[in-house]
Amino acid sequence: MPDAPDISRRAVLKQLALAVTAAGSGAFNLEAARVVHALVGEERQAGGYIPKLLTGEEFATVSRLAELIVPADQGGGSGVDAGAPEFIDLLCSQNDDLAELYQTGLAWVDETMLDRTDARFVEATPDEQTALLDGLVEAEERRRGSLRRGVLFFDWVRRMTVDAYYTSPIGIADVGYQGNAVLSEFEVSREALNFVNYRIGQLDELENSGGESEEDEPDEDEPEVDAR
Amino acid sequence: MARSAAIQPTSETHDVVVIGSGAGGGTVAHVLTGLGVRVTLLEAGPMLDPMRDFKEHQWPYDADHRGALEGGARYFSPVPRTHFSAWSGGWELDGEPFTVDRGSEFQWFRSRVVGGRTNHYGRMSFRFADYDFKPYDRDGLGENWPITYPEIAPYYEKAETLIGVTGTFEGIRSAPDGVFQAPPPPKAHELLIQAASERLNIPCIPNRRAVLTRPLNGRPACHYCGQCGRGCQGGANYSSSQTQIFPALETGLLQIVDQAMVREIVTDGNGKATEVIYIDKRTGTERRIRCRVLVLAASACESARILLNSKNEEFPDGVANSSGVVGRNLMDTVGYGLSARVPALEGMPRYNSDGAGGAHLYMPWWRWEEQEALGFPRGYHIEMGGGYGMPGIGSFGRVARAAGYGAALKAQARKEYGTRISFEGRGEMIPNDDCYCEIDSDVVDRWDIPVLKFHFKWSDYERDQAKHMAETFHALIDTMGGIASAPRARDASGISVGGSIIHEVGTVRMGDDPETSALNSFCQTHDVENLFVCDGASFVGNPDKNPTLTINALAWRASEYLAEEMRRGNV
Repeated sequence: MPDAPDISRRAVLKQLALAVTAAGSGAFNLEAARVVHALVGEERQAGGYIPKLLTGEEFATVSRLAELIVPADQGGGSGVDAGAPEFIDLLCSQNDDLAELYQTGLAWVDETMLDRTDARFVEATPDEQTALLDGLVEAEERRRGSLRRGVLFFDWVRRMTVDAYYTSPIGIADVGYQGNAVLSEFEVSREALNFVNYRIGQLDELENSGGESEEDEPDEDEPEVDAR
Repeated sequence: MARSAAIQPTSETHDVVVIGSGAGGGTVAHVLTGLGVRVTLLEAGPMLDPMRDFKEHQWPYDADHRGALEGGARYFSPVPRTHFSAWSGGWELDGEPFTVDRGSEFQWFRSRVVGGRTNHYGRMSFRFADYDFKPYDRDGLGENWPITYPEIAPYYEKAETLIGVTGTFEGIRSAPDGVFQAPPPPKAHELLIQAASERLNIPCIPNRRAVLTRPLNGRPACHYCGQCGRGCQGGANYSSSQTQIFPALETGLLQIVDQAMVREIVTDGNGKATEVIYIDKRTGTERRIRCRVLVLAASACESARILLNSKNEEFPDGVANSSGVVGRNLMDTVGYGLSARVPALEGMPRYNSDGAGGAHLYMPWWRWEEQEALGFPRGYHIEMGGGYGMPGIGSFGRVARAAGYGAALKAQARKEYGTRISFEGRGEMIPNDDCYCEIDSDVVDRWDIPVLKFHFKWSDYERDQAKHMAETFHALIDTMGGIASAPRARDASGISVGGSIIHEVGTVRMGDDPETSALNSFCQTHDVENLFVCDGASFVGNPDKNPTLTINALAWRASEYLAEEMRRGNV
């Protein structure tokens, strides 16, 4: 992702407007658009986000969950850095069913932690917090146990945190997507070509090495109506 | 963008009124205005402004909901919904229901905007094979077309020359060569798929898509952002709006009446269509427009709906429906999809694999000489997906569920990103008596226009074909050492829902016999000589080739015929 350069927001907007006007044909300055977006995001952070639906305590719990589900590491920031709590709160504010799911789920998280530690989730130690999440993953796999009541909520908060992260500039950079660019010709990089040709040379060994099918659902990308 | 004022009630007679602005209506408007004929185009949706309406180059984070839609609606929708595509419609339209008979399954995708579904479609542009026009002669199923490959070939050529189609000369009978632009080179994962297909003796050749790789008629070449489904602001891919309708507006001979929802065609009691009654959606008021010639191109099912809703003393079963075939013969493409994770792609150095907005290779049908040994009639082609797509809502949902949470989740996402490939079979359906649409006498839309009721059932022909697709895809995946996302099919439960491939055709079919068909080979109705149907409704069969290019070619041929008949004073 581009570092926000040390220039004023006004200058960038002006540059963007010029780029749009000059392009005319439909291309525009993607880099400038991204810089503007980054600046807008910084402003929002500087001003502090005011939750639209969740209470301050609920928002703090969602934030801690988002940090645990997608933690910062050398490859990228956390779910919080990617705006997952804001994303969740915004959609909850627009959807009563989703709001109830989160409010009930967050209350369950606190009650469960209180039963275990006499502390609410955000006040518990990191080890206690991850112990609860480990228990939820185990309950999800085994589909039983006392924590199974929290599995549905956990799946939702994980799903939406993951979506928020990988649709953010830092998540997109984390997996290394290089597209959404304007090219004059399409070509596969020499490194990728060498790699795939090496794999093609291994087809005899690769054949049937994949084993059993995975019966879980495939990723649901942007529905590919345009591929029909 | 030029926008005409709504037509005022007047006695003015318009030379040619065209209903619908997709592949069929766009072609008619372009060809007729090119021949000096005045055209008035009625479109049920709004005028299109690509610079304003297309979300090309936007990032998911440019929307606060990231593409999940307001309130996360996409998470709760039983049918795919997306924020970025240039649909102007979708699987469900507010106030415009349709019904499906008990025991049937059917989906209907409608796009209400100038250009219709061509603004976002897949741009697969395949000619039908010579044998596709005479299927009954091959296997005794379905009906022959009243047209031969040599008769339509010049119009395929004209359409390809205008819209621009990539491809290479292959000499494969099931996939006739055409006028081609150079295709983009294969993507990296496609090279692995191609190597696997070669081992299985399945041809895997450069794709044929209506995406320019060289500038053409003022349209720029593709800039490889891979977002054809969002609409292309520069018009490097084919859409009837940008390639045909906007240039036709430049002639001064085309007038567009948008937001015009057609209710009914009026005839004069002497076998002539004289008027169209439509609702001006801006005001909700009913309006009439007089015509010398009327061309229906509202999409196969919508055109059938308009004809069936146009009942009068002269045509008690609907205008141009003395044969009773209007609404019958409904077909979609047989679809079956299978994806796989390919560990052999893990660790590949990242590159920008967006390309020309779709696969750069495909597999045409390869067993047309062995039909009897296969156990099912006709055939299919194989489309493919894969590469490092722009992450979106749901892209890493499966990874997340598999990896739990935390550092392991992120590591797994990095490892698996770009390793998933997919195959989509697109096969030919045999028309059957259980598949048709009719007017539902109990339900109307928000303008009080009776809606369609769909009846649709696959037969064993399609189910057996889908099973064959599944076997082929598993074989391809096994050859690459991939891990399929579904087990080997014991039945055809993975077959697509009727209508979901968005290739619905056949509901006003052409033929030589007015007893068993509604149109002649020039898309002119047998009953009403100044009424034409120029969308996919005219199709007699639905070969495995995606229908748009053939809609273009048939509409082009019909338009030249119509212009000549008008010049001679015959219509």
